[in-house]
Amino acid sequence: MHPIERIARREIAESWRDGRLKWSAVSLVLLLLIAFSFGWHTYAVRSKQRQAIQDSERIRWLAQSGRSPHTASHQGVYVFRPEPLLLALDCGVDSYFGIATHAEDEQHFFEWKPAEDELVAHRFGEVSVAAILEFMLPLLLVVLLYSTFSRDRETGILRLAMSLGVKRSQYVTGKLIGGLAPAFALLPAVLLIVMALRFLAGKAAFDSALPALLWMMAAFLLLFATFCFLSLGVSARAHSSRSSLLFLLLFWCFTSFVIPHVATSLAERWQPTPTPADVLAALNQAATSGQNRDDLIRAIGIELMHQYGAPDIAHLPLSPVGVQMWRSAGASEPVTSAAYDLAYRSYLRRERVMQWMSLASPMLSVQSLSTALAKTGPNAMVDVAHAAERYRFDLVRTMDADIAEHRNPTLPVNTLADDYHVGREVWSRVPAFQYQQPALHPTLVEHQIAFVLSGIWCVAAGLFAAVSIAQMKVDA
Amino acid sequence: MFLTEWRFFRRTTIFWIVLAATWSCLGLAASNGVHRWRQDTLQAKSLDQLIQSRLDRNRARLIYINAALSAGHPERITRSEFDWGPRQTLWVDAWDPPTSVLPAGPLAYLATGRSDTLPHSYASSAWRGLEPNAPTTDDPMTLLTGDFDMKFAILAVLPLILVLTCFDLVATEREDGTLHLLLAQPISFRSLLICRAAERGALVIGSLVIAMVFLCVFVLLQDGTLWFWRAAAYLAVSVLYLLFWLLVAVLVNTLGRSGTVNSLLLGGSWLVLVILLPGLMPVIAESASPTPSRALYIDLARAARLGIYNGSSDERSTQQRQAGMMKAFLSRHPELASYPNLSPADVLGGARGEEYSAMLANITDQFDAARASQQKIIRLIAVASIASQTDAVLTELSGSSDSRQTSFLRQSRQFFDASKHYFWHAFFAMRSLPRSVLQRSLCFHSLNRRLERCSVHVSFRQFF
Repeated sequence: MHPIERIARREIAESWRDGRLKWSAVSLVLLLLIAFSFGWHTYAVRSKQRQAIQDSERIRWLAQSGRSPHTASHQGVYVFRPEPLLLALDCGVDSYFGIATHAEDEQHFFEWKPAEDELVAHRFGEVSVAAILEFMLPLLLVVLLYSTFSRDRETGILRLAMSLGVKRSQYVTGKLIGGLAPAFALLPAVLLIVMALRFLAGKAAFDSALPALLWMMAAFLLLFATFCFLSLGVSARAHSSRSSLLFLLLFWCFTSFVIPHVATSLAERWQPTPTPADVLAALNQAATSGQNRDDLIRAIGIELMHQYGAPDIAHLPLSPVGVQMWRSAGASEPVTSAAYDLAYRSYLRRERVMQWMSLASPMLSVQSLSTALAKTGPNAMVDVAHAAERYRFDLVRTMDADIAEHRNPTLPVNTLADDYHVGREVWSRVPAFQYQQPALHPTLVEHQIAFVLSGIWCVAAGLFAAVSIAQMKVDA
Repeated sequence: MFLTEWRFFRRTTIFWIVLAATWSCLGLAASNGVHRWRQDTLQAKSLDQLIQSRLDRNRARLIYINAALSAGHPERITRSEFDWGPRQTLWVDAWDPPTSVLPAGPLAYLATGRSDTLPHSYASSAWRGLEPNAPTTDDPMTLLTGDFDMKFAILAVLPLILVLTCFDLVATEREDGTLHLLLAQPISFRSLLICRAAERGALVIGSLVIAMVFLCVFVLLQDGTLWFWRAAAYLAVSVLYLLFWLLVAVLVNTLGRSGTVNSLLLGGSWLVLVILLPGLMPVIAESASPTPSRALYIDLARAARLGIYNGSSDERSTQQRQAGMMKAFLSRHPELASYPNLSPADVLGGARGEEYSAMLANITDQFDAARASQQKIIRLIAVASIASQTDAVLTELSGSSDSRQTSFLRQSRQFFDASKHYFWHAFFAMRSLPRSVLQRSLCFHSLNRRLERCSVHVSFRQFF
């Protein structure tokens, strides 16, 4: 029997005898399956409800009885945020961003965060497949590997093994394979989850999410490799198994729970988010900087008469009121968008700061990558918000254009709701809201810092392990 | 014996590590708490300033309109200003009552609780009343992680420091055989164990007490208020919670296992009680009693609103429905029927607003009832996790719980009702507001101290 196989077999036998590790692995498998069931349930229920409500909203939009397009643009449409398939695996910030926005004459934030309805005040992380892989699996790796070399050194087995002519590389490989054996029990569970996702979501949806899923797995593998190397390195260097365990547990606790909180606090100080009052103040400033509306309509009437050579307003092909509304919407849109972007851009800046914070914790980079690839990160939310704003603007523009083209030019602005009514033929010019998820490549580019830092962590941990193993003492 | 052990403990490296870790954690938590409290205070002030500046703008414009009219130059003002000018309700924002703003909780620096996810202000319209969907702008990533506040430090970090300090109370002595030598002295195993646990506990708990006292005094000096008994209760609950962890550590040490096994057992207990059980609670509650759908709530509220405000294609049935609503409205408000200039449009506006408010209240009640049933389940499950129980108590004591928000929502509703009725007679009488009314504009004030019991306080700000 090859020495690697022999060492691995011995390690596996020891792990098997140690009931705690067996139970840890079984518990983790169960947790993974529960998390997936819960994630899928959340995704499926929300997706179904959103689709149904979005349809009924569309029906309400098209079913408006004869009324002014301006009134219709005030009714608007509620736009719901679509759920990405990988929400079933990583819910990211989904609970902390509103589910819908009212696309009407004015812009609004997405409202009703699912977290508002949660009844638990604490936030120690949500149970999701990604959270278990990010936090619990590294812990399992620590528990499996903390005594890889230190215990053999304490018991004298290491000296014995070396004296038998086993090469150091063979010994390390055998120990690693044997030590990780309980963790391999998770592989079928992960495969099962992927297959369940394929079966439940259907081929088309799964295929479109597959590249992101593979990148997610790559990010997780980098994290697992980091923890494996780190555990091996510490175990090779530590004086005793106890100090090795203590150091690794502390590292895990701090990188999983303390550093993310500290990083968030620091990011909040460096990149403060504007309050609703700040956004409101920016909007008010935009609202007050405009000219008097009656004067504007009068001026537009004169301008149009010059342009079309019309002797009076009655002979104009366009309604000055409609043109004023059309222009006003166009002029105010960048200003209001800039006000809302005060908040949205701050989310993106802070996300970038958090990526840099991964220097202090490998968990942060993987969390950032995982949520981004699952399309449940801040970037994805801001993208939906911008898409909804574009939709709202098009809706308002379509209504205003109809008023400009078809309303009697002599009619004043204050009878707008009563003297020009249209029907379904105008409402149907506004298509239903369709959202295209951001492509994979830009997402990867936006998160290259996190990827690079993940890689650096992995390489640094690998080097640390290599050096520690090379310098490993045989005696305690 | 305690003093001897304490002197010995002070000479070890672990003492200084624990001290540094505890104070770093408490310092960061206190600093974040003060930052959050200042932000909340600033946000409330900014919103208040916005309301005031809107009033100032209106006042300036009203003076301009009055001057233009009295000088005989109506062309200087807009058509709508000319039309609406006499109905001066517009110029005190009677149609658009001031936003109700939630003041920062006096103990918000001790726990962020639910204050970062729930609205800090509500807007309303004179007819429709309040619609509880005010957005907040907090960064979703920050919300996901949660604040590193005093509550987080107490619930998660200090127990971790405690268990990592206490896993080896006597394990090393037991392993190297010196325990027998120690016990040959006139000391019992129990008193040795308790003494060592007590000194580690004293270090962590003492630091917490000192930090809390400093924090409260600091906020008090920064123009904050102090709920003394609540702060004292908060501290007492925190100390009890940390004592529980100390007890767990002592019990694990009495099992007689090695230091490695002790650290695994204590680390595992921390993981299960602080992270896993609280994390699984929403999953269990959701499975037993699903959260009512907010999307469905939006849908129902939208259907109700459009059903009331939009006419149907059948003009006759629309008119009949509107006549019915107006009749019901006037029967509810017989005092309005006597106004000679009563406008049917205003009556329809009032009737629609009340109808919609009633329907929305009904939808909201059903939604809240479903949440209440989930709340019961969560309370039941929370018994299994001391961290969740303590969390709920600390959040409640700090005044950043759901109940404060519920109270704020209720007071906002009362305020908007009061605002509506304050101006209604002027709307319906089609007349200018009396000078006594015109001089003042409503502003929202909530009472922090007795949020659960207080009734709304409607106060006025000077308009002229």
